[in-house]
Amino acid sequence: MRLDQIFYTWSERSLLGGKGMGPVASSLPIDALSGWDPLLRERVWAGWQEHDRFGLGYLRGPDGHAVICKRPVTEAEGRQASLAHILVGHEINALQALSLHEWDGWLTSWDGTAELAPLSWEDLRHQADKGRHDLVRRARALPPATLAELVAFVLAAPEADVSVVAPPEAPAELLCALVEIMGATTTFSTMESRDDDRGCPHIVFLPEHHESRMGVARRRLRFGGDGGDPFATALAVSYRAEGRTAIDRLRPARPVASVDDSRAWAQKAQLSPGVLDDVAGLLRRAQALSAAELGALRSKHGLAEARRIVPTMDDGELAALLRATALPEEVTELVQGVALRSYLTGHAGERVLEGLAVRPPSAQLLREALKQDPSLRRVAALAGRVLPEPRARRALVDSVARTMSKAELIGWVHEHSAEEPEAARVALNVICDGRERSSEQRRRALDALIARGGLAEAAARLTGSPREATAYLQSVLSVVAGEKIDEGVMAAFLAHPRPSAQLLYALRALARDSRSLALVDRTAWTQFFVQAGLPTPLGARPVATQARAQPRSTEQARPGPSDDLPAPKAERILLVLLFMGVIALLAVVAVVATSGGPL
Amino acid sequence: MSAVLECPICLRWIDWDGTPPVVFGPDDRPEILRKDPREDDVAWRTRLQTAYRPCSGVGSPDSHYLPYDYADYKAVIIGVFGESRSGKSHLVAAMISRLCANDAALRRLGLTVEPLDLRTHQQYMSRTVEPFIRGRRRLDPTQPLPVVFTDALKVTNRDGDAFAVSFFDVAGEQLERSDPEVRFFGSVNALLFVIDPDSIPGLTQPAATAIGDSTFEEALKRLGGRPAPGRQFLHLPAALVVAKADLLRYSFDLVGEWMSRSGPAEETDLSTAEQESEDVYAFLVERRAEPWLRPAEKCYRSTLHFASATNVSATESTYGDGFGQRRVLKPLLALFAMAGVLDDEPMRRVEGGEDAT
Repeated sequence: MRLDQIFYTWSERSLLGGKGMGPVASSLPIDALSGWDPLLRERVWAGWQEHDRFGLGYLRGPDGHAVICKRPVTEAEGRQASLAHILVGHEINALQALSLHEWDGWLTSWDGTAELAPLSWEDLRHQADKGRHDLVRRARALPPATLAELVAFVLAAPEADVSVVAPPEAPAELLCALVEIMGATTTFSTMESRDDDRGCPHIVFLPEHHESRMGVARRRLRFGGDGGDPFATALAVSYRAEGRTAIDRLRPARPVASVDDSRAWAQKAQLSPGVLDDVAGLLRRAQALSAAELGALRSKHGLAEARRIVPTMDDGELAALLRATALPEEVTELVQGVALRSYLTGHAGERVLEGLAVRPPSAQLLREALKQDPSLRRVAALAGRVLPEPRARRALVDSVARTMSKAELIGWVHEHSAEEPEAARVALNVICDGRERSSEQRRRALDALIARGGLAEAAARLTGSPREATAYLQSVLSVVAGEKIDEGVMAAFLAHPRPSAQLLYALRALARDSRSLALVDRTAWTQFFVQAGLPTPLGARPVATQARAQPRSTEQARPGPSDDLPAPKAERILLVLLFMGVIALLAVVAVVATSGGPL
Repeated sequence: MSAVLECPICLRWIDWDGTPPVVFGPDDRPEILRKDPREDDVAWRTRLQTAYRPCSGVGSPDSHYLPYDYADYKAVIIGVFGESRSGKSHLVAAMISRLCANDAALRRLGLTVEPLDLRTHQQYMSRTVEPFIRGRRRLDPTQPLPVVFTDALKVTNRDGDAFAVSFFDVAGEQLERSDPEVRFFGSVNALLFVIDPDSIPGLTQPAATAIGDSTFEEALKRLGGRPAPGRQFLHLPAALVVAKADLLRYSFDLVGEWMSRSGPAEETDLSTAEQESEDVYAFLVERRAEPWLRPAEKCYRSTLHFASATNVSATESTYGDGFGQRRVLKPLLALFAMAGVLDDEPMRRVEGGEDAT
């Protein structure tokens, strides 16, 4: 968007030929300048004494819009004068104009040159965007009562021109808020010394001691009235809380241009006087709702809307709602349920969990939420935060853990024993509590247990002593791998690098036979030297009888392996040869019998 | 009382008797003033003293508000012309200040001055006259905003005839460019032309290059459209004032001589008006400033004057030692005489006396 510049000040001869206040520099051709001049020349005077104050104006012109920045100046000989820098363009809207309030490109003096270069909106965009952002932030911080008074005044006669006299807040902020609330562009001036000419913009701001004559056909607002219009107050409060977004949802499509439009808007946009039909907005500022607003939330419509809206809220909004203290019980319960489900299903995060900790859900809600098949980790985290009673926490985790397969539980305990020790211990107990029913599940559980090193790490972490850990491991191994572990399974467990002593101890107790036992002992023997930083001695092997230690202190300790010694190698060879000879003899007999030979 | 009156600002006809009185509330919005049935006539008339009548609908953006009793007096509407920064506003403020002083010199002339539009007068006095005269502050430039009375006074002469004297002092820029909002050309019946010596080449500013005052030309052009008995002259009285004459005092003996004669008695002595007019005319002709004399040549009756609203130049925004008003009243009294407010016999007597000599 091209922006042309015009600069007005006093001169002996302006670009248009007159003496006095007129255009002295411009990027516009003379014809276009002549078109703008009749409108601008009445708006370029800054008739106030405070030289540190400037006025920002926004006008609709013959060929687009104009943004005027004007200020009083003292000329070299001490004479009072005004100067004005003007940008004109086709598509400048009111908010864009306001966003230039702090623009540092406004000219504050004239260097005598008659030509100015045109600008483009792109040149200003960075500053304008920042200016608008800052302005909106300040506008949203306006006292709602002040803003409500202005909004009510405008809504009472939207078509009438308004002069705001001695506003208690900055005009740019008030205008920004008003434009955002009304949603329509409007001409304005943040500062005028008088408002008695017909070319005055729609909304102007005047100082307390202005110079207007009587009979001004404008409505003048002096703040400090009762400000009791509930609709305007609701709009102001909503704007402060949520900005224009909430009001955009409520505003009629057609601009509010008459008092009838105002009434229609107020009627349609309110659930009750002073309560906007914006349950989402009410929920978002649930911390500070009036009695009327709480009543509206409690209504049938309010609850129905809440049921629709709460599930769509993000974590921050849910957490804020959980922290709200005065919400109707039905709404609180709704929020808790949504928050629970959202958290347990992994959609919500820590903020919601913190909210749930502030406002713990009932047992009934918990039970309902558990139907969502939540992850044990989420349940564990939830239990740890929302249930102060240990027994209740463990029961909650237990109930979820029992819905999981042993394989899943083994994996979960292995991964989360450090961060959720209490829940992991519960899960460990659940693992120990009976075998899987199907062989497939048992196989998976065994694979999982082998893959996680028999849960040796977790058991060590979750128990108070090596003996207790060993007892747990024996229990887990016996449930998952069986009461007797054969050589193959044993080898699989022992394939884990550096198995712990507790695991070796437990495995040894469950060894099915002397070979399994020897395997464990050999591993322990090897590990003994390896851990001491020595190689395993050549030809050395443990003496089986020496390795037959039994767990002594744990109730769960099982009897040790059988006392069978491993067979000597030569005997084993002889036995094999004998077996093979018998087989060969039987084969010869069978061949002869079937062929009808001499025998 | 007339039944129908022309609004001096927009020239629309007003059904005077049929227009209800209005007053202004705290926010300056007009409200129709209604007589309370229990109110006696004295109380009602008292309230009417601060009332107005609109020239259009009550509250209409186009309405102008005239004092309720405006039509009771003969209107003398003075249009003030001159370029931007010629000194019009300072001169008018000084004139009104002197006029409203109601001093002994004015009483000798038999003039009594009161506010006609009390509200406008008070605003003008507090915002313009007092800061200027008492505060010695340089006035801010006049903004080209709605054309309304600068002030309106009720001037009563020795015979008891009362006149509604009003002033239109608008921005030079507005006068210069044929602004359609400036319609009082149709209603003025006395003209005050303010000549800025700074604009005339060779007087105060060596670099001055002006060839006349465009506002004079514009005024004469627009006033020339009025129906008049003859086309040669405008049948309007005019006073031409060389303002800021203090700047010329020490450069030109003639000016210095006139400026030294500035006491109250001299200012109200209209017998010197003709002589002063001749001197001013000659002074300007000698300096090739004939274009500034066009109003005097065009108007059927006119006087010319030297005057200074401040007597000194401003230092930044204020005036220092020597500040005062010099010969500001005389042009106005001359206009009054030519407009019938004052007896113009003193001026005529001098004319006659000179003729006789």
